[in-house]
Amino acid sequence: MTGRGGPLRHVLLSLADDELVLGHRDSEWTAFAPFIEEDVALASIAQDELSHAAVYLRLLAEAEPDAPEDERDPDRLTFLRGPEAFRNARLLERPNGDWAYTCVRHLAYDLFDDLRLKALARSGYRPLAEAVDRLAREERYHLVHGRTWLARLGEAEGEARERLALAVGAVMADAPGLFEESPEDELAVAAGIVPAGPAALAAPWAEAMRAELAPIGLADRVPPPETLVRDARGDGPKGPLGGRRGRHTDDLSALLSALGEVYRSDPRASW
Amino acid sequence: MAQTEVERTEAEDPRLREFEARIERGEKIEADDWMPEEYRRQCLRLILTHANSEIMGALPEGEWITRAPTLHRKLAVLAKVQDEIGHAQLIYRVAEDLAQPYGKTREDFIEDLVAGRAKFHNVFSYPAPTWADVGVIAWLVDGAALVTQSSLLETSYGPYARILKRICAEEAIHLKHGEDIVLTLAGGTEAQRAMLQGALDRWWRPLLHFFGPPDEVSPNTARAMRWRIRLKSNEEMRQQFLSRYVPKIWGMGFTVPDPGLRRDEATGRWEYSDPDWDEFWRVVKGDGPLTAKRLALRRLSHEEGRWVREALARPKAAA
Repeated sequence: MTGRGGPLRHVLLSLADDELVLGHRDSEWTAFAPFIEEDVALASIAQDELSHAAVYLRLLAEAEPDAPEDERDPDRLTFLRGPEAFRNARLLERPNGDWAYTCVRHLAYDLFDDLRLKALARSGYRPLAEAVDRLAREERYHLVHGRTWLARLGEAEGEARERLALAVGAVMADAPGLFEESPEDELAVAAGIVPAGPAALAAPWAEAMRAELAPIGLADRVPPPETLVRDARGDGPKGPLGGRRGRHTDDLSALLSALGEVYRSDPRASW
Repeated sequence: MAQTEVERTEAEDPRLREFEARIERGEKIEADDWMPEEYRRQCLRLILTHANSEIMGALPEGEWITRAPTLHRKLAVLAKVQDEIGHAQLIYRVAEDLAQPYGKTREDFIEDLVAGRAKFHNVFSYPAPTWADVGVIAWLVDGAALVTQSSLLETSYGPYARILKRICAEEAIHLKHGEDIVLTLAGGTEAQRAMLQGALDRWWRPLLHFFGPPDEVSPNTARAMRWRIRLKSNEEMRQQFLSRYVPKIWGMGFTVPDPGLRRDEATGRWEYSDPDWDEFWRVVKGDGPLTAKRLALRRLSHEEGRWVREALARPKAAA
């Protein structure tokens, strides 16, 4: 069950890569947020996400002590893997866009992650069940941050309202990628690593997302669960799917080439 | 009222004598206390330059957050830049209190900054083209800043002195972070050592400029010293910096690009070649290598965030 390329690796890389890629996007805001307070807040959130990615990557290293260094060491996994080896949802690799998109995407992801972590607390793989307990507590603050901004922007009129509606539309279009199933998920369920595959989270997520958007009159933008798990646009270049199977957009390639720029200049050196 | 009239009136003001007596006794001046107009202006200029520098200082290092070469380094650079921006937040609050008679707020200060009307430290107008620059900035630029800020811990303006305590404590951590990057590169491959030497060469002149021209005897400075706004001269601070860091750089087997640099054993003073003070003044006037580009970047993000700030200022409920 813990063999390389197996279901545990898939589950851990999906978790790690979601956090790594979104944490990277968050870190891009540092010094460019609309308020100094938000520079500070997003830098904190980015540090949480990146630290969580490191936690999952260390779990992988511990689960596969005999794997080659490039497939086990957290830094090597972070800086040397090509996009085809990343398992994040495409939603998270999209560029930051404006502040509305950043806030809506974060909230959509944080609601998903909250459900995922609750499920993983029941994982049969004990090190994972124990780790998510602590991480879930830190993630809660991110939910509060996202909700606060949704309410603030939702109360405004004019440009803010228009941007918010556009952001919700863009995020909902990519949301199916969060629930994308891959062949390893069935194995992960069979092995007791996860209680259910990601598609099982679509219905509770849609309900939670509608509840967040209802006060600002945008609940109808949330796709029904059946669309979330069977999106017709699929994994073409503009589609929401493919991320969990290593099929990504050019946005991830660009992100990874910045991420690895220094490390790849000499992967054998100490940095 | 014209400035000279204000000053003439203040010179005869019995409150001025009491104010100076308080400073003489080592008392702190608080935001609500009476203070000469010139004291307020000088404190505000000093404090705003500091706040603006923390904001602009986030840019050269911020460029490397996305490219830092290990997860640990990425987190450390992110935390450091976050600290600097947090410092700006604290310092602007002190500045807002001081600027109350002028009716200026943080938004005004930032508007001034992005419009190129405000001063920030010269050092943040220079490029940081390699990862080694990130180490040298955190070690030596923050080291220079710590020399300056420590000298201000005893400043007579109480609110600034108090936040400087916290800022200096955090700067000391940044120094460790920078020193760690520098030592790792110094102990690394030939290419890494060459990268580090290149960064040291690049930053040397801006670092000498950091403390300002020597033997500055302008009436402003004399008064700033008498009122204990500032406590050390530019040259005293530069000497302190050189004593602290040059032996470390040499000890690591690296050089600084000044063949004339030496310590006079008899006087204990460092002698250095003229670091081109004309360049210093050009950068002060806004003509540094990246001054325009970095200000444009700040202006752009300020403009892109405007709709968010406006949305918060005018929610629907209040409309």
